[in-house]
Amino acid sequence: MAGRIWVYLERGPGGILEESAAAVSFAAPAAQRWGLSLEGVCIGGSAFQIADAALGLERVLHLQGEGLEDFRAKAYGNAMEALMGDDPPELIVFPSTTQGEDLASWIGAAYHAGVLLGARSIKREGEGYVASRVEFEGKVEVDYLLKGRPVCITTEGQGPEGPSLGSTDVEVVAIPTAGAAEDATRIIHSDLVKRTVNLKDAKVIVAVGAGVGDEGTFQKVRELADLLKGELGATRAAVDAGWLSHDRQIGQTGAKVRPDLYVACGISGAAQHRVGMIESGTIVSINIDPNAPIFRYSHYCIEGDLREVVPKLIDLLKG
Amino acid sequence: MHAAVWVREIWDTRDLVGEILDGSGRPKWNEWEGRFDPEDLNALEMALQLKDADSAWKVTGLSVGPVRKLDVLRECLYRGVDYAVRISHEGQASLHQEALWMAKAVNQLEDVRVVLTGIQINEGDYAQKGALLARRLGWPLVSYVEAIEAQEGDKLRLRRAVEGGIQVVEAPLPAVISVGVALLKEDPRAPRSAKAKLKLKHKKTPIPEWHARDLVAGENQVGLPPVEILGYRPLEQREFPSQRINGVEVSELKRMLSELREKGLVR
Repeated sequence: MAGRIWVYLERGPGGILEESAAAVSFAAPAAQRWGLSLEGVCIGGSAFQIADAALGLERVLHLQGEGLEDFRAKAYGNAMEALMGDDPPELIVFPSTTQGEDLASWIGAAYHAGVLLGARSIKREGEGYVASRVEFEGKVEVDYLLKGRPVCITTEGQGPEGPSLGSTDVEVVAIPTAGAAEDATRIIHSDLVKRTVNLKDAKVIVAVGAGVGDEGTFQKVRELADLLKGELGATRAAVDAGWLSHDRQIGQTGAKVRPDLYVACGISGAAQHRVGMIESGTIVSINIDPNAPIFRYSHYCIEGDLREVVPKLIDLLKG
Repeated sequence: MHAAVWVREIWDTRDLVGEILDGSGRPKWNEWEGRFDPEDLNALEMALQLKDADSAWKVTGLSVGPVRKLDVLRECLYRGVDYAVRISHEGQASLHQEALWMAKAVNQLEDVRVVLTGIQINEGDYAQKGALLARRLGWPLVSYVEAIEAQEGDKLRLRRAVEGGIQVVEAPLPAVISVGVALLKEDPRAPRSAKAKLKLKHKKTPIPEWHARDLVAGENQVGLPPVEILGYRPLEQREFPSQRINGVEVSELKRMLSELREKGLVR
């Protein structure tokens, strides 16, 4: 069958990920414009979970089989390849997640087809697709011509309608699949935090970098966040160092936030963090290094030691 | 037992100030320094730590293409790899082609049990090189690996970052590991520096070159690269009218807070 776009529906602890619903809303107007059908592909899990995602899809192909409960790149990649055989869709849209990146690249290699991770827009051109991506720390947009079939992209983008999750009567076609056994990778243990904090809607965020250094300073930053009625956020390095849990991570592999006020405490401003916070309304940065890159993206650049500056701010706010 | 590490030299595009594109609308590549892809460096460190723990491991650095400004393979030798091999080719190469040649090279090396490489997607890189390689080799892939926790016989126990937390995965070898980790300098997983002794020893050590043409000889050639860059467009940048504040001066902090209050940002 020709003329199809697929969207990869990734399962998370609470059902289909919102990122996948966003990918559907990204692909839906394109499918309509080009007269292509739009189908979802989901691997493992229960049909009930999928049906609960109202996604504006014509149908969902649900791959089921032993060993497909947990994501493993080769098992899932093989399953998708088996499903496509020699008649893949024209385009597969994946969410910009670790799974999406693995699978898009895997399938691209399998079919020698064009891949682009992090696409912002896509259009059809001749026999291929032209997709754009923002590079050079947000300074340049680059157009890529993607050829072959299936062209595979990941996207953080969403359509004008935005993601929609909820009950739906979408047709779910169960497809039994074997082959997962070829991947003997085994998940021993997962330690996943269900998102309990919604940083995306926070008006004020006070974020720490690994430079926070010690427990006393961290507690002061927490007090500052309370006084500003803000949520705590963190860089990946600060999460890695154990200061805060993963659901508070801001940046490339965390949340993208745009609060009215962002206070960066001891954050140097590496590009990976910056992409997550650069759209904040007013940015205040505290850093001991006068040349910290974060100062180039801040409205108020406070040069000083966190251990001295934060208590002073607390006193002023209390006073 | 052999661990191969796929390393690359990338342009240093961190914190570029001023115009990125030249008059003809192309990035000013030649004005920038070369850099060891930082995630590849983390991958190299993981491989070297495998060898530190068990001397049965040998480590080989592999890279595609000529040296631009920094010879990452020589840097590998300076840090303690046993061998380095450069894959040479004519003209431009796409990441798909690089992955194919790398797979062939890995198959030519003896007893490779694991390939490690960084996860970073650089400017102009369109896919994860670890996943492209794993598919070419037909090996399992574990990506976003932060640490090798243990080796148990012919299996590695790996810790990987995923959305919302971490996973511990047991990977039977052979496997491809894509490394993605945010490290502080003092972290035990942080990459080691070049060693003075090894620098002296390997300054002139010849690095063998394997030509891509020979690696794929007799094989079904893959078609033309499926990805091509069409053009670059500068994006309008947000202005940051910024003020410097001396953190020691309470009066300056006070003034800032009152400005934030006026804007309704602080109550």
